[in-house]
This record gives sequence, C-alpha cells and structure tokens, in this order.
Amino acid sequence: MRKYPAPLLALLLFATFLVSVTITTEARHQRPAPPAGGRVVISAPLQLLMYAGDRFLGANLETTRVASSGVASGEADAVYLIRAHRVVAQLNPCHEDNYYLGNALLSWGGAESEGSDLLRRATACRHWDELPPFFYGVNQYFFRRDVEEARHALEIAASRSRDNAAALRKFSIMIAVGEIQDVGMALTYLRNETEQASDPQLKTMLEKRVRRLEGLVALREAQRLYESRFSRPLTDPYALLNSGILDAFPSDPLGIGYEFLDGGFRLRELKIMGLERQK
Amino acid sequence: MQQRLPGPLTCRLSTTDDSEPTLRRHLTLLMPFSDIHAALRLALRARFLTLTLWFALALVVTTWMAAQFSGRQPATVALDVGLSVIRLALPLVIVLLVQELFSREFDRRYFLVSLAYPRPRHRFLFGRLAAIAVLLLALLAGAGLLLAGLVWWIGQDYAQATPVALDSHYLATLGFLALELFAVTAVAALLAIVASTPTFVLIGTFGFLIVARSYAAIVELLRADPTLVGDAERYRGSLALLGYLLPDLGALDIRMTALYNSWAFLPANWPALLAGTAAYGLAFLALAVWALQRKRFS
Repeated sequence: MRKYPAPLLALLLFATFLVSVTITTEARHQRPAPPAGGRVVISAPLQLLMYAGDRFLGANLETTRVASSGVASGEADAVYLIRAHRVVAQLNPCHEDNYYLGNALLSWGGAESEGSDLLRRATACRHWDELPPFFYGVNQYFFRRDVEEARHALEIAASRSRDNAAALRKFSIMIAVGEIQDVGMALTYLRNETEQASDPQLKTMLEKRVRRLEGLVALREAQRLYESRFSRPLTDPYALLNSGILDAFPSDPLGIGYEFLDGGFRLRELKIMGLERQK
Repeated sequence: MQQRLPGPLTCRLSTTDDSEPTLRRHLTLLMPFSDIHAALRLALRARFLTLTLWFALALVVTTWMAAQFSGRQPATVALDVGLSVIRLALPLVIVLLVQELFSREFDRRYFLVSLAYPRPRHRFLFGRLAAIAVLLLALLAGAGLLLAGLVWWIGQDYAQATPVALDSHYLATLGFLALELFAVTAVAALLAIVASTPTFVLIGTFGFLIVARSYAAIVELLRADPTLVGDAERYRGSLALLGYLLPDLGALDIRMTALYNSWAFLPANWPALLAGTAAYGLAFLALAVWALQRKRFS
C-alpha cells in the first residue's frame, strides 16, 4: 500500500467515476425518451467542416444514417427524413441511394415536393441516368397531374436511355391521351421496392406506403363502382358510405390520409410547419 | 548563407565510430543520395511500416463496411469512402513524417551532424523532402491498388446500373490527389522549419488542409441556400477572398469522374487549377529554403 499510493488512488478514483456514470445513466433511462422530432440533421456547410472538407464522406455517412436508423411514421420523422435527404442532395446530388431511397420514402410518404426536389437535383447531376427523370415524370403525373412537366421529364429520360427509349416515349404518349393505370403502376413499383429491401426497418416503412396506396386503389375502385351504378359523377365522398359501397374509408397507416379534389381521390400531401417548400 | 565547416564535430564523430574509416563516412554524407537514404532509415526507424499496416487495415475495414450500407451502388460507395479514408490518412502521414524528419531533427540536435558539412542547407531540405515523396508515393500507389482490388471484389456481387471506372479516371483522381499532397507537404515543411514545437506542424497543416478543402464548397452551398446565415451575400464574398490566399484543394478532388465513369465532372479549368496548385506548393518550398537558410539553431 505504501509502495503504490498513486496508482491505487487513481484506481479508486476511476471506480468512483464509473459509479457516478452508472448512476447518471440509470437516471437518464428512467426519464421518457425524447420525441423523434429532436433528431438533429447538421446543415451541409457545417458537415463540410466536420469532415475536413470532404463532402462525399458527409453524404455517405448521412445516407448510412437514414438507411440504418429506422423511423416510425409521423410528422416529426417526416421532417427528419426530408432534411436528411436534402442535406445529402446538397453534398452530393449524384448519390444514387439518396435519390432512390428518398423518392420511395418521401414522395410516397406524403412529401412529394421534397421527393421531386431530390429527383430534380439527381437529374441535373447524373446526366447519363434515365431513372431520376423517369421517376420525376411519374411523380409529376401521379401527384400533380402535370402532363406537360411529366412529358418533358419523360422525354429527357427517353433521350438518355438506350433500351427503354421506345417504351418511355410510348408511356409519355399514353399520359398525354390519359389512358394509364397509374395507381396500379405505382403499386407495382412500391411492391418491388419492398421485396428488394434487405433492411427490415426499411421494409416496414415501405410496407406502410404500399398499404396507403392500396387504400387509394380501394377508394378509386369504389368511385368507379358508384359512378357506373348511379351513372352520375361523384361529388361528395360521403355518398360512398351512404350508398353502402364502402363500409368505412380506408385508414392510412402513415396517418396522413387522402383527399377528394376536382372529382377524384388522391393522396394528401403533408402540411409541414416551419419548413420552407422549394417550388 | 551560413555554412558550417567540419570542425570539432567531425572529431567527435570519428571517436564514436569503430570500424568504418572516418573519411569515407564523411564523404558518403556528401553524396547526392545520402540525405534520402538517411531520411528513409529515420522514417523506417519511426515505425513507418507499422503505420502502413494499420492504415491498410483501416482502409479495408471501412471500405468493406461502407459497401454493406448501400443498396444500389455498393462498389461506388466503397470507392467513395475508401478515397475519403486515403484523403484523410495521407495528410496525417505527411505530418508525422515531417515531424519526424524535420522537427525531431532539430529537437534531437541531429542537425549538428546533418547540417555541419560544407554544402548548402537546401540539399538537406530537398533530400528529406525527396524521401517523404518516395514514401508517400509508395503509400499512395499501394493504397490505390488495394482499394481498386477491394472495390473490384465488392463489385462482383452486384451489377450496378452505373459501374465505377477503375481505369484512367481512377488514375487521374489519384494523380490530382498526389498534387494536393505535394502542396500540403510544402506547407508542412515550412511550418516545421519555422515553428518551435512539433505540435504546431500538426495544427497548422490540418488547419490549412480543412480550410483549403472546404471553403469553395461552402461558398457554393451558401449561393444555393442563402437562408443559412444572416447577410449571406457579404459572408460569401469575404469567404471567397480566401481563394486568393489558399489553393482550392476541394476542386482537386475529382473522384466523381471515377465514381460515375464520366469526364464531365472534371473541373472546366483543370490545367489552370493544376498549375496554380503546383506553383503554390513550389512557392512554399522556396519559402522553406529561405527560412532554413536563415534559421538560427539554438
């Protein structure tokens, strides 16, 4: 004891430190977990400084974080996803995982403007890739019914494609004459995505989007049934319940819901406070 | 120019040695490649090989793990993260080598031998820098080969829509990186000669590196998103002034050409960029020569 006073004292103090750490962590566990809205996404210029000016590393790490940290549905998480994907798009707009995952999670998760923004950046950066303009065109048609913009994007996609150019131009013409099973196509896309997803958390997130879309299919099918049965256009969605075609409106697992606009059902877009929309 | 002639020091040297003829030893120190040889031996004695092994291990592990997180482009992400690791690790190696070959030389008073011969001091500087260049180029080539092999192996699993370009695009990326490392080495050498503590080499070099690599990209981001700081326009303008003080090392990072197999990502003014960075590095070398000639050793 007399021989090693300093190391023994150090050991004792380290033990005290460990005890104090244990006590504080236990106290932290007893408190309820903070809401997911508190999740921080560091802005792109700061990330640049953090990673010693390496914007590619920042983009990769942020994408890894999005892909591996699961998010439940809800507005707070939507804001986190939107911000994370946008920061990656600022750091490296060419990042393939970012625009692909971002389109699946944002565009089909109620934040179509943000998803399309990712695709627009990817279209500009990946000047050889036909997929971003194709997805962008599909979004413009499916969510906004903007035939002009959709056909423009599809034309870009067709000019970049070697094998699919004819199919893309045919699709563009079908959009123009308005004969397309757009919901069915979107469902196929999302189901494919869900099957390919290897991460269970990502799979759950995509499954919710599939179920949301299936709800829309059910609504549109009910409207078609109503209009053929009573041979007049549907003006009030509650007429579906009153006429007994639907027992109840389908519930959206994302909690965002559907809306009836201009005589047709569509997916409602998230209204997010405190987040500027880029039009 | 201050030159030290062989005097009492040579006597002391000759008494310490046993078998080798003293005159021959002194003559070898005057030979053109003696400095490189001595510097290489110093670096190897400072466990350069162990460092290399750790670096290779870190490169392999990070690259492989990064690829696991990518759904659609594992090879691209692997190459991307691998290049990031190389770009972070090699400046650290530069700092360690410069500390070992310059700062320690002055600390341990080895200069009593190495600068004591009748020859200009810049021979010592260039010899040491040549040794650093040899070690760094070997390390860069080895890491480049290792990364290329690893990315090729990762790419076997999954056929990407856009395959990575491990050909001339990749070589150009490594070449641009080599030029960047040259500029960093020149700055580090000047700092090592001027500064009185080895730590300053680390802090100064990395400060220079971080600012020079990031300011151009930050200026660009502020142009895209002016909501980030108040009065973004003036902030951007003053940040852009840095362009006249520091080389744009961020623009020398042309890895997108290799990642996405397209020369379109090469900056439009790349010859001017290369020439400017080379001139900047050479200017710092000239300053280092001047500083070493005027340095008063205590």
